[in-house]
Amino acid sequence: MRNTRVKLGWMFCLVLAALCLTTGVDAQSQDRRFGTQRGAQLTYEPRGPGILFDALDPALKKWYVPQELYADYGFRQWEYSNYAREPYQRYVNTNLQGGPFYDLYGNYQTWGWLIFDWNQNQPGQFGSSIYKDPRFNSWFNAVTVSSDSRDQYYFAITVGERIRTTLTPLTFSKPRFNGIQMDFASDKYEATMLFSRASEAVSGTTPERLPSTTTNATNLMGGRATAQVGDFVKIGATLVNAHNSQTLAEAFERNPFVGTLSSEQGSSPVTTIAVVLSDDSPEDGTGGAALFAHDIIITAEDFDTKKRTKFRLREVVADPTKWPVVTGGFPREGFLVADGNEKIVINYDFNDLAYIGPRPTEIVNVEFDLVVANDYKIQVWSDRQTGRGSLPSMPLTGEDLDQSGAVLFDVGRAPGNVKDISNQRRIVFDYGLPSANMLFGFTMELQQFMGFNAYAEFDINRSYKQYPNLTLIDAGRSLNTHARDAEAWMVNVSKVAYPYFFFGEAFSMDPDYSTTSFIVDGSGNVYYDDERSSMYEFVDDNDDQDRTPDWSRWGQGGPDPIVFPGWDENNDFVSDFNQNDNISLSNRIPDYEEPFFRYHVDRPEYLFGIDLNNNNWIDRFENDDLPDYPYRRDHRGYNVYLGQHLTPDVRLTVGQMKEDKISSNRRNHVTYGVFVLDRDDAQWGRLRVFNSLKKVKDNIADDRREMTPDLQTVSLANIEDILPARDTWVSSNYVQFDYAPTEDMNLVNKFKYSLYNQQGDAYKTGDAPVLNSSTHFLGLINKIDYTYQIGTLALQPKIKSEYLNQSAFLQGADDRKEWMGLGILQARLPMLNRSAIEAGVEYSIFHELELDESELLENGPAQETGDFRNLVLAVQWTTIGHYLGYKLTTQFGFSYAKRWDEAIVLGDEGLAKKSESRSFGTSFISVYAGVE
Amino acid sequence: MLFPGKKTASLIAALLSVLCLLVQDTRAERRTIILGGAEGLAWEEGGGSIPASIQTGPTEVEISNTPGNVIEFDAGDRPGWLSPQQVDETINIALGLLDRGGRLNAPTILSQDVRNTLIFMVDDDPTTAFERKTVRGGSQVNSLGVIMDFDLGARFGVERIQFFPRNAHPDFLAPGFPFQNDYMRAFELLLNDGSEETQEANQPVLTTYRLTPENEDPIVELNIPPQYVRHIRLKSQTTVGFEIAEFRVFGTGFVPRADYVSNVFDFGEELALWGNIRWEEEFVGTERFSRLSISSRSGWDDTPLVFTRKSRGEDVPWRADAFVTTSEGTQLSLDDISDVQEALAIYDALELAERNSIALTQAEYEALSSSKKGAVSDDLLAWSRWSPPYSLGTDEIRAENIGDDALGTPILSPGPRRYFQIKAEFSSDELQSARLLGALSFTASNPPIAERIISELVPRQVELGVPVSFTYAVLPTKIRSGVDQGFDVFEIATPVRCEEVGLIEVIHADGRVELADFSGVDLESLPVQDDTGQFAVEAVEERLLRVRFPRIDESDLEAERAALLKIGFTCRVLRFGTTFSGTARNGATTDLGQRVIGGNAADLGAVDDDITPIGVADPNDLAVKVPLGGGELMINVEAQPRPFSPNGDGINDATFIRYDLTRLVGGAPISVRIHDLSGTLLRTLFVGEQGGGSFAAEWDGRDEAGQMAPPGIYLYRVDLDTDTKREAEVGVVEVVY
Repeated sequence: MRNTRVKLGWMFCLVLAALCLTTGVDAQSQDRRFGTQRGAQLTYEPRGPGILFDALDPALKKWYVPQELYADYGFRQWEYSNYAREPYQRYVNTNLQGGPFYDLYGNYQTWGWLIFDWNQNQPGQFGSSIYKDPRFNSWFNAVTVSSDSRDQYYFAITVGERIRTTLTPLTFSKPRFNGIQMDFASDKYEATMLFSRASEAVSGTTPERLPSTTTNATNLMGGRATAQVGDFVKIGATLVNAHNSQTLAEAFERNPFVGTLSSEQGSSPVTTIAVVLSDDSPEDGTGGAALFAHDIIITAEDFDTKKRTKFRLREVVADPTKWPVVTGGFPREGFLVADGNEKIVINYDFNDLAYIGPRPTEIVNVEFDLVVANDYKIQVWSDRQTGRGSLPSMPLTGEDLDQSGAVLFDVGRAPGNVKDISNQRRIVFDYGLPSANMLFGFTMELQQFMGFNAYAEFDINRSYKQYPNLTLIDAGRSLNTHARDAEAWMVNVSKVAYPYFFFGEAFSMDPDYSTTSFIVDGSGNVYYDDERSSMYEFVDDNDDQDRTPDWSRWGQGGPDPIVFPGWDENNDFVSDFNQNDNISLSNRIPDYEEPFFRYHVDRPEYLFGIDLNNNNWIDRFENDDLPDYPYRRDHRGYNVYLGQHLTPDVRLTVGQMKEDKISSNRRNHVTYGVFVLDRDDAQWGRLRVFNSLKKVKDNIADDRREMTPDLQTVSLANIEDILPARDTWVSSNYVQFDYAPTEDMNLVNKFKYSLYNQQGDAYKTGDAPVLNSSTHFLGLINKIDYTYQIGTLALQPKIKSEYLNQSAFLQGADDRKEWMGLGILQARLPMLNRSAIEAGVEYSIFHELELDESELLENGPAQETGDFRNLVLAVQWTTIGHYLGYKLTTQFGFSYAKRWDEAIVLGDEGLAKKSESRSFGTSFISVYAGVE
Repeated sequence: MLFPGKKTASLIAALLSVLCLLVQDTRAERRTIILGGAEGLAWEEGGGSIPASIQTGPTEVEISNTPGNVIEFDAGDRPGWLSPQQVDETINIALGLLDRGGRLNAPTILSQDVRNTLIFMVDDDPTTAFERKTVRGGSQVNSLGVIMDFDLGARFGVERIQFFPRNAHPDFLAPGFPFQNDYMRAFELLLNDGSEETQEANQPVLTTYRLTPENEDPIVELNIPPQYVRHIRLKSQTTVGFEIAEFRVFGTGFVPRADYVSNVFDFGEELALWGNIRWEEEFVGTERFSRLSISSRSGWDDTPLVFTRKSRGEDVPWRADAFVTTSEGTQLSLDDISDVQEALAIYDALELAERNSIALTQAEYEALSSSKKGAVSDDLLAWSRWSPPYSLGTDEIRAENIGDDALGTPILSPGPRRYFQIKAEFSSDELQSARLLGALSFTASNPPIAERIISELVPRQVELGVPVSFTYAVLPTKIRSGVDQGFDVFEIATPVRCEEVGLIEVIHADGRVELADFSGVDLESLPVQDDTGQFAVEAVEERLLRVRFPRIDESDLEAERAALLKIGFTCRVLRFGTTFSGTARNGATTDLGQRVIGGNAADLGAVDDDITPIGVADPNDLAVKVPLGGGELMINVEAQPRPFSPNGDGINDATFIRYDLTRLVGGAPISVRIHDLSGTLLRTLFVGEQGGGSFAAEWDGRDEAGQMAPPGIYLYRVDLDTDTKREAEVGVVEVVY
């Protein structure tokens, strides 16, 4: 028994020893190859090679260290490789799970892959580097979110290419921000920081799995912080800065927000500068820029002594009549004026023989000193303002500038539209190329303070410019920098105290306020007139608020091909007026033009809404080419309205809006009242009555873009604002009555009448097109449908009448008067469990009522009357089933259409009405796979 | 033929006119040239004696008065009237597109041979066509996406576009080519109006006008709303082959832009001064949619253009192997100078005659091969730029008064010069609107006063509205003996009436000084003379000072025989940049007077800060600056005399509310009113518009009803309303009896 115990004891010890040995070997193996075991955790801190006990043997034999197979196979100097007993095993790919990554301090971080990396190293060539691994896109769909929280504190870092980011409406708002967003939030405080290499943020994967490197880049930095103060007030501060940087300069030497010009921009000295003065309101043809005196102050540096000297005009010219060359302008007594489209161009050509000042390479700054008056607009051009076109040669004239499309920078413009030179003033400015654009400002929100909600924002836009000088750039010295400020502010206040409600807004945006930054390409070039390649927007144009900006800018692809603000109430990114358009089967015909569809879908002309900018288009549905600020640049004004709910479904609102253009004396003043009734009665149906009446004085043009479906193309036509309400009473009235007397019957009736009644002479004078004294729109839609159920057969007759009577705004333009009636009979018969046959016929009649056909029949000329009839027959079989997890809808059928166009033709018996017919046919078999 | 035809008569008139100019005597002679209209030189003949050379491209020049040939003579059946061309709605304007400088292009077709057949679409030949179709046995032709670009060469009002294959159109039947079914089955038509606003990087931005995915009409006829069109793009949207025999464009209305350039007028070696220019102008359609711009230029030689040839990669304006004479008297070939820029600098520095003797002429230029031709440009050394367009103001010019020298507006082109040219630019923003130009006339006189007269004024920096003693120096740099007239009268345009005239000096070249001092002289009764009768102050008006002095008839700065005139006067300045322009006249003639140019005329002491040599022009030397800081537009408001006694005794019977309006041009609303101390309005003295200047409103002590105001203290109030702000000044005036 004792022996048995001893044996058992020895066995236990042996097993324990074996276990210990086994564990020790494994641990040692991991230690040498993959990391260090610390308790139950394996870590991978870098430790460097150690001192091998065996290597202390003082032999002359050669050591192969480090040697990862040493530990595995234990061979010494060499080993004969014989795989007879143990077959050869391939090398282990240690990268299958990625690789180890360490932080700046040598701490092991993770084993895996680098999927995104952005760094900038200075000084050095190609110092800015962004790396995006294919896994960033394929695994994470181009967005990663690292978030954490404890107690009330939340934090997230989002790296993505299409982040919807908004700081404030006046500073930063993009549907596709490509960069890094860091967010922090607590109960009282919130903060956001944004970073992006705006000039080349990289969309997708960096080519060939190598970092995208560049010496010249435009970096974006931004942020916003808010703090809750007390119970009602939240204050915030915002800063956004995009600046050009080049990695050849030493880091942290200069204020990074100011930026620096690229070496390419300084590679050639500025040899020619032109100051251009023009009329800020050319349409009136008078009171344009008046130039009384001009001077130039040139600062030159002796680069050996670093001594700077200033020269005025009279010191750098031998004959003042020959330099600078002034072209254009109408001479007046002691000054020049540029009225209308005339331009005064002051040409400073530093290579001209008449110029005897410092050499262009020595010039480190150029300042201009002008005495001007009236409604001036000052711009500047130089041969370093690169654009897509070729540079014009000096001396320039206004015509040269227009024809060459030369890039001009705005310097200043006169407030208002002064014509009597009473605003005579000195304008002094430095010449430079843009190096950075910055916005900073403050916000204040008031929440439910005595029932009031309010939001106020004030921002300053500071744009930096620098005079290019290669010597200074090469020496890493600061270029002469100057900044120009523009301001914007807005205040919104609202209160609802049922049945009363109130809203007020005031705003101002300087004409020079800009949220656009110029970006450099990898070579350091900037094409100042190329929106597509050289402009970065802090606030995008995205009128339909979808995921694609409406305009085309660098790094975000082409412009949004289809923009339909307000027309997508079901949020499926498809226009509700063209619901059957999709990526597989493009359809450019609006539904109100398509057979069968057009019964339910009415034309957009019948919509009712608010049009406070008075361009005869409802503001909510408006698409323009401007950044999505809440208010327009160069506008200042207010809007106030007060209303009362007379009953829960009746509301009356009265208000006044006044806005003025800052840079001219144009204005838009509207006094308005809006009546809204929306009563839905279970027995009597739904009645909607909308009326607006307003008195308008508006001569501010608000051009817009509009889809042109009648051209069957997606191009967006620019619709010029003809200023239809210069001094006008505008009334718009809409009544809709929907009634369903039985479950199977529906009646819809819509009536819209709007009237523009012109007052005074403004409609026929001034620089805008001459209008008719009165313009109206009358539209009437009546439709009824009923569903008969005869056994399994469903019969559905539908009748629709659409009448439109519209007089033209422009004098001499054509009026519209037309009626269309259509009748539809649809039948649906289920044939099997999941199959049905449907047949339909639509017959429509269109009458153009404006043309006097009897007059044409009598006197000619022979022409189309515009009337037509249309017949459409369609039959389709539908089978719906489930297949491989998908809902499969299979359809086949055909449609036949015949159209008769009416014309007055000259026949043997004189003029006669005749119809010409054309037929169209389509047959189809379609299979749709759905996931419903 | 008893009577010469119109053209012959015009030619005779032109010859007579030129003959008159050439054989004039040396006395100052004022002459009025009339172009167009029923009586003037025929527009078609160009007016002047030297044909107009018009640059039509970087290296293209044509001799024509109507570049683009879009001017209509005898417009609207009115003899001697010009208008932009009105398009005949039945004429295919695509036919002349190449002649007008237009283009045909097919950017998607690489074969030049195929491109060469584009012309078949606009050749009016029913048997030829531009084809993109596969013929049996031939190579495959891809017709989808074929683009045809038509540049009409000018903007036209277009209302109809038509295209068709051969044998399809009844007017273009070609039975030998039965291809009437080879029409374009699907197409897209794009338009551009040719305006600058619709060009991007010099390329037209085209807008789709019509996309027809299924076309079944062999003759495609598109009636488009009348609009300006210059560029048309037709794009094939079909894979089916097609051909186009004719592509026709029909227009309407007036062309939106048309130019007329006169021949160059030669006024002989004596040179001429320019007077006024005036013209008859009417409009059709809506007045504000059309414009007529008349401008002029003057020059020292007969060629307003510079022709260049290629030499070592640069454009040089001299003929091959041209020699110049160096200051050492040696002959130097400009082509032998290694640095072309240096050679150009030497050329530019040459005297005009020498420069012209080696300059490349138009005939020589046209004889060069195209690779040797350099750019053509305006000669800005010998010719002025085109002046800004003139404005007739309120003058009504008719055929009856077209020759009235007093009417019209002063010619701005520099004088004296020998050569003169006029340009008329018609433009319109609306198809049915245009301007018509009837007769145009201008006045010239020769010989001039002097070749060149430089003047300056000191001080040039003064206080606003404060009387300042100025010295005006006048230096005729050269008066050609026996040619130029010399002068003994000088006029200075002053911003307000001078308060005093001081010393007038004539410092002759030989050091002799003649002078007269008018300080303290009462300027109410003019003229006043000095004791010798040689000096006089002839006129002191609200904006004019005219003095007389011993005649200066010989002066040559280079020969150091410069005579100098100095005029002292006291005046106030009411705005920054006030220019005291001057005109020299010869009192013995009725010439037009010669305006002086600013420059360094003399060393006028410490206040004269000129750093350029005497004789060098600088327009700033006649302009006076005042501080810009002060914001007041109305200054020096006061009542004088105070008190006043409106009792009819002839002494201080009325008071004058005086005020100066600074900085203003044009008219700003202003009112002057009298109130009693309770604020009740007693009398409105003036309500109207006034520009910058010195003004006074008289109050005779009566109220609006004509009743004499009782003795007492009254308030006057002057209200000014400008585009920038409103200002009001209130003061006190006492009435005593």
